[in-house]
Amino acid sequence: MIKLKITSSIAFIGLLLLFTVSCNNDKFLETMSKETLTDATMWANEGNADIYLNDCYSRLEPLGNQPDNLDNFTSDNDAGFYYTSYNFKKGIVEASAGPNGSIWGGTCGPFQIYGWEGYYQTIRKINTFMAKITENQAKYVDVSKPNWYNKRMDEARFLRAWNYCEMFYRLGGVPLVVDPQNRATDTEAEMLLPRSSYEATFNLIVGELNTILTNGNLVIKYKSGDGDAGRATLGAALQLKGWVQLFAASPAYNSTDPAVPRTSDNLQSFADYKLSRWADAAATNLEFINTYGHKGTGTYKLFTPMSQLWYESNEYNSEVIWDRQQVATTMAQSYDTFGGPVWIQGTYYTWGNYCPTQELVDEYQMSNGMNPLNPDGTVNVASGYNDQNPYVNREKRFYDWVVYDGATYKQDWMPVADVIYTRIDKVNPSKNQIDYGSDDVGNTAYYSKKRLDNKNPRGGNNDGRNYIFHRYAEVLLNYAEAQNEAVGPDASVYEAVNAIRQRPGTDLPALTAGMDQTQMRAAIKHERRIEFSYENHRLFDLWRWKDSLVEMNKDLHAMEIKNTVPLTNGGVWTYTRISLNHPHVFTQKMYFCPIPQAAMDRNKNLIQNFGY
Amino acid sequence: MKKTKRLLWTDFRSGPGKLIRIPSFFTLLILVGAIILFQSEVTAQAIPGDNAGPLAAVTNLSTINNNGAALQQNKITGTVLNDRGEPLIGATVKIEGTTLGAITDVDGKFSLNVSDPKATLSVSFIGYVSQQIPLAGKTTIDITLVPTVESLQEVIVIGYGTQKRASITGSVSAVKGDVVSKIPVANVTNALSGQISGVLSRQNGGEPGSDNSDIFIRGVATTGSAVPLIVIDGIIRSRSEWNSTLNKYILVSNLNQIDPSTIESVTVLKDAAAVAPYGMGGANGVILIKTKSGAVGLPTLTYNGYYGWQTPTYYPHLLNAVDYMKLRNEAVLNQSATAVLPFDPATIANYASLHASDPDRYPDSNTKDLVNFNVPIQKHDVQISGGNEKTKYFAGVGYYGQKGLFEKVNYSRYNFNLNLETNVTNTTKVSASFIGSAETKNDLDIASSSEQIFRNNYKFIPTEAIYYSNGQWGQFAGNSPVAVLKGSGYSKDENNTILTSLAVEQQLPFIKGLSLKGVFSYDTRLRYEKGWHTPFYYSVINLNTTPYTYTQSISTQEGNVPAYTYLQQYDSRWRTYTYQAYLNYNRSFGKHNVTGLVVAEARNGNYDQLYGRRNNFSVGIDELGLGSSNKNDYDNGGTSNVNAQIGYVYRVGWNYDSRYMLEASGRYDGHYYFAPGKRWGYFPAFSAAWRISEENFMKGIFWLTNLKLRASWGKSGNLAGSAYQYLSGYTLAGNSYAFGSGVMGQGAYVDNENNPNITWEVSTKSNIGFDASFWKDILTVEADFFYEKRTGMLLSPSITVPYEYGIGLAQTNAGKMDNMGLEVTVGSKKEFSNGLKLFVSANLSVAKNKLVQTFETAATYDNPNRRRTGRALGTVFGYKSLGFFTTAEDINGDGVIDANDGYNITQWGILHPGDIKYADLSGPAGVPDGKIDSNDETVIGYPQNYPLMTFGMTATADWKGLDLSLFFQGSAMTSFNTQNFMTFPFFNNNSNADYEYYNNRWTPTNQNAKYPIAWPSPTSNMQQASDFWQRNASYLRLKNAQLGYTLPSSVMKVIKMKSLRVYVASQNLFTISGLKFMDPESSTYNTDGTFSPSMKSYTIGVNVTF
Repeated sequence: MIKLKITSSIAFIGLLLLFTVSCNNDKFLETMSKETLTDATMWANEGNADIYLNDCYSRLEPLGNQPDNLDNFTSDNDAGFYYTSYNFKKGIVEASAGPNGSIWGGTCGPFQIYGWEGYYQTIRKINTFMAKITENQAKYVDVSKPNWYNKRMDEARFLRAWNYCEMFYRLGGVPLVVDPQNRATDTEAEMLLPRSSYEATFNLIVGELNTILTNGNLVIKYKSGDGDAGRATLGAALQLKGWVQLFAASPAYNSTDPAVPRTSDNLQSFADYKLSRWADAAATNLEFINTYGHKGTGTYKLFTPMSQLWYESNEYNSEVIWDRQQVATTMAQSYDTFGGPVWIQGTYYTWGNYCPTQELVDEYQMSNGMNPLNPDGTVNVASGYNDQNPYVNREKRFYDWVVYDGATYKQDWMPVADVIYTRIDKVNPSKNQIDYGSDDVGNTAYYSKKRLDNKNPRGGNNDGRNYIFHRYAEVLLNYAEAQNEAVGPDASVYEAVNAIRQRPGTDLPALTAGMDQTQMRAAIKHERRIEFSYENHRLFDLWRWKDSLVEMNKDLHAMEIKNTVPLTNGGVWTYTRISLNHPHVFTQKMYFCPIPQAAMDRNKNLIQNFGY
Repeated sequence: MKKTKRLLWTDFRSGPGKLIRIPSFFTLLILVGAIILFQSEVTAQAIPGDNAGPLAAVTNLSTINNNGAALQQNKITGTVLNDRGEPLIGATVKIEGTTLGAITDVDGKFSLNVSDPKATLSVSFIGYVSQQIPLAGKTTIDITLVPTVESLQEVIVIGYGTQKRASITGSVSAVKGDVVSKIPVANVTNALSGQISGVLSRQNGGEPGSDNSDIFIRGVATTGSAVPLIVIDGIIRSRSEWNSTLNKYILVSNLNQIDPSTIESVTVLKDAAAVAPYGMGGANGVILIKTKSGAVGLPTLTYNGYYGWQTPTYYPHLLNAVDYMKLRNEAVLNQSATAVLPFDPATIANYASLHASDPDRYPDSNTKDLVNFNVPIQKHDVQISGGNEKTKYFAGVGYYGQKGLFEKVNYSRYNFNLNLETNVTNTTKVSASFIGSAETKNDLDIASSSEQIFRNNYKFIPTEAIYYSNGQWGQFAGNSPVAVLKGSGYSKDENNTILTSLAVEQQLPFIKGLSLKGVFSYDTRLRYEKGWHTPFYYSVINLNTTPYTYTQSISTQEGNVPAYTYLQQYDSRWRTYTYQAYLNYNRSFGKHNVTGLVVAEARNGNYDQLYGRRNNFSVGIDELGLGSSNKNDYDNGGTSNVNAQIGYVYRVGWNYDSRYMLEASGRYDGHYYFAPGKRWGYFPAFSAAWRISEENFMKGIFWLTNLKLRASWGKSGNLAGSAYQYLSGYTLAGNSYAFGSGVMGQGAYVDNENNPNITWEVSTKSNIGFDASFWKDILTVEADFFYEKRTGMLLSPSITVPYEYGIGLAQTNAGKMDNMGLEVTVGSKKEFSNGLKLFVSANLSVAKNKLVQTFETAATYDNPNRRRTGRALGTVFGYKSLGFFTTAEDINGDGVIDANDGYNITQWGILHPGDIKYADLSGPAGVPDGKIDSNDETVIGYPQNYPLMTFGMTATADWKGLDLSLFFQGSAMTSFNTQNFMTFPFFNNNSNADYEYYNNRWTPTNQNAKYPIAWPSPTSNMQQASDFWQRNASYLRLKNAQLGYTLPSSVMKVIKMKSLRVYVASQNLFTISGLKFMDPESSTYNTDGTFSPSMKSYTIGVNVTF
């Protein structure tokens, strides 16, 4: 018994001893975080480094997932009040909105997912990637990945230029950070960069794109099935260059009277007006057409049928130049959740956010290529337009893209067609009839069906269609516009615009011959408005043309369709343009977004944009 | 005024206080000491007989009964009497330094065999002063015990030990278990509010199983985690966890698993002297829970049970169809006088009769109908306890059940408790404790939630049918709350928790007063969550046919919910191991009493989770394997982590004649959160007390029973942030981007620049206080004043780099904060000769903090209205409102307030009479600039999330078996942002409004209104943060009222029970508050009316003892 006692006591002490000794050792506290990679691992080889670049690509804004889009900041669309665009249309944009973008009732202006902070975060990621793979370049010797370093550097350059573009469009000149800053070693001057001028920012972007084009490391275009499809291409670089040149050559920035008053800093416009900027833009876009485009190798050309351009099965088609990758289920596009008719076959399907205004609908021509309305708003009798039967004999794009009262609606996923009624019908009320507020049903009497997923009933996680940022039709119209401004409406201008109008499936007559420069300008503006509607381009067009101040201060309208004998529908259906009743205010400062006050508070060298 | 420092452009690094590294030989020394002691103990015990060690004892109980039989023993007998000469039955007589003892019988007599004739007897009885009597060779001893003054003799559980109330030097408050167990709530946290000074709690709504309260001790003294530490039966059983959904640190503890009726006491440790033994865990205060253990005596069987009904304290009053339509028309007309009205005035005027004749075309629905307003709550427990001098036991089983406001929502918990204590030798005690709980929480379909339903209640407008007249489920905007409530989807959350500990305590008789204890604890929790979604069906009515026809559709809740069936399951497990070794010394030398304690404690644990999901079940059976076999419908995931902590605790105390007391305590603590070399911290504390009332010069003051002054100073730590924040690293994340074939690739990114120096926060606490008792506890007063400096708080210095830097900076230990306040508890009790007993206790706590060092930009720092530094944490900034624009201000009568009316200040958008007007306080140049923007911000309310002042009051009366208790609780100096569905019309997409708004809105004829003019949608101008929406949330509520009757003992004898008490009780019976439309006790993030409301309850119950 004594033995047992001793044994057990020793066992007891032993236990204490064991853990006390182990306590004394830091090993007990040594645990592992399995989700963290070290610097050495991250850059060890091409495959690992690619994982980092994947994250940079993922920062491309999935614009197809937004219930609010840039078109809602224009006179083309009318959507709910809970969006930032609603405040914008009331003239509410302010610097104190914070450093980030928001689509939800914000006052930051047309930023979507990212704002000042978000773009600079992306830029730092890209700068870090470039610095790190340069530092570790010697490690990248995998023979199965030839020229890996040079390709990835050019991809990173493209992504960085892309992000600077997003800020350039909205803010003008911005601080240009091209290396990861280091607060431990950088001087105050290196840390607190002032805004570069409009021209310097423009030059950085174009310079980077030129480098990519000169290097020629990237492929011109990917096609469906390519393992690297979705990475930056030479085609994307050349198109972006041509577009940015056109953007900057526009009267809002390249003028003796720019959109906002010129200051000595030249932050919001070039210091002078130069016709050559138009010529540069024309040359670049022409280069695209003549090399990669339909007049060159034909790698890029217009896709037909137009109505199927956005089908998932047609990803990477000949018209697509630069797109944001989306994958069903895991990285899906949810565009369809938000737009299209709200009620389909008696079921609530969408939020009803893409509601064309009467102004946009009036812009669609008749099938004979004539405008339904005269510039003063009266009916253009010659066109054959009947304002009491307005949806007949319109151009094909109207029927492809707009759901109107009485339109047959049939997507591939629908077993049978539905007819959408937006009229006010007291006898057979329809769920989609316009109202002023009981649920998500739109107020204009129209829904956009452009870019909607044809295959799947609801957006959510079924839709893997890529979001197309830029397509070949833009190159054509970019060229036409630049050439018209630089030289005038020569034959090449007609040819470019008519390529769009006369493409199979659009089938509009060619433009009337003999237009002067001003008439051609109007024709091109018209063509851009229709062709690129609901593709997030209209806002920047209105801005760069300096048209917002007029266009965005106009009253906007809906179509009210009523029966003269409402109780029996025994009368006739009347079509009345009624005011949307939301105030629309656009002031001069709104040609640009404000530099967020929060950013100014942290960097005393930043100068605010005009009017904020 | 305190000098504040602006942290602008400075790379400020604040050390967490200098570390005193305890040499490793310190622990070695303890160890060697322990071994030597043990070895000598073994030698000393190596005497003839069966006096075996602890392990032998467990295996051979019979040997214990023969314990000491072979020794030369003397039989000692005696009687224990009270001061009136009556025998005390059940008094404990022990031989000092051993576990041998006896209990007095019905005549107060005892007998004991004692081997050492010089031994000392210790005689104790609850409610009487214990006595020590040296035998000095005597064999017959009569002892008279005198009653104690209760407040002084009370034994209080403190960190790693217990102490008599009279000798405590720190700031410690305690309540008995029955105080918390009598409140009919599931969770101890909900019973503490207002009971103990310095403790403030706020309830997170009333959803069964999730209605626990946030608890703070002495306010909030940090920008990091302010949650206290929870210690249950001596083992740390809590942690703080960042919840990104709620955007705050939440307390994760086992308090939810403890049956309140098994709680013996709750102690709150507040000052440094009390919390220092918890090192890095103590700075936010510590709550110690002790569960019941067995008591010597015959087996006692008790049954406690109650059954009650709960109903919300506040519930929104939504507009009916007519008022909704009127308000909607009014709003549209306000926007444009020529607008087409959404609702035909003729229809509105006739609506009652239209609705009566055709409710499907003219619905008048109220989503309140979906809510059950009387939901049952019940609790039952059976406990048995007893024991003899050798072995004591306590066992209990309990059930708690609570239903929710919706049929599928409920929570139930089964509890099992077992506590055993046995003296296996004269000097060895083994105790084991087992606390088990099985919880089940049922909720709505996994794809939705109760919260979603409450939100739906606003969003579902009354002019649409919830149900059609044929019983089918209606819809609004493609949503049907009924589909969620009545569909077959569900979510289930099961938690099985087992908290165990085994302790062996060894007296070491060769050094008097020394004992050694080893504790091992193993806690485990298994969580099983299963969620099942089935499509939400609803019907759309076609009013164009006669009779009406209905089409069934599937709701996706605005695209957020799949239209297909899916099942998901999570399996998680937590395991925690705690090892403790105690060395305890407790001895008196004449009037000098010396205590010493050293504890080595190590804790580690791990966590694993596995997740699986399947979509598209063609057969509606909720079994994972029966889902679609398409791999695109599969999903799985998982995660795991481990944790570790080591601490060395000490406490030494000296007191002289219970008059002068000094104590030093502390902990040397190491934690896995931090980088090697940054892991160990030392947290010392010192305290002293002086019982003036024991001094000779005070003896003459007959009415002063006790007066003790206390003072303490010390340091403690707080873990903030999260584990591994020191690591510089790339976070690897799945599903980042996809090239080519659409196969998702991983991505990697750096969250923040790292900070390898990151470490804990240090709290330096000072406390002075006094305890006083007058006329033998007829009046007791306890008061404390505290001052705390928190340094090394984790803050991100991102403000010191421009946004263009492009990456967040890791947090650094840079923040400094002060927190000060006072607590007063006053109690009184009196027993009258007619048997009436009265007891009143009230407490008041005030705590106010101040940010001494924080990062802020020049823009806020340079504007005295906006400066953050020097203000309390959570101070709300916003605009100062000047009421509404009046129609009189619209001088030109165009309905718009602008420069033409002489108003030249830019607010948000076009302004109208009835809109809120703001004060132009300042501009970029420091003077008003005609523009309302961030330069005009100023302080607009009390700090959010916690009230500055809290109070509670308990009053009880007993008379001839009747007992009444009233417990009031409240808080003051607190405000809420009240902008929500209740105060704003059409808050979200034409949603319904509340009569709170409707009856108090601005109209041209009611310009002196409480709420602004109605617009068809929220406007920027009204949605600004301003003092307009900050409303005083002070309140006083009758938290608990109880009336009971205990049957007289004459009756008891007949029915053969020891006692029987029946009672009726009510929780949250009434509330006095300026806020008439929402519960002022809610946590602020739950103030928008879209969450489960707090509940009021009425219960009847019974306490039976057999």
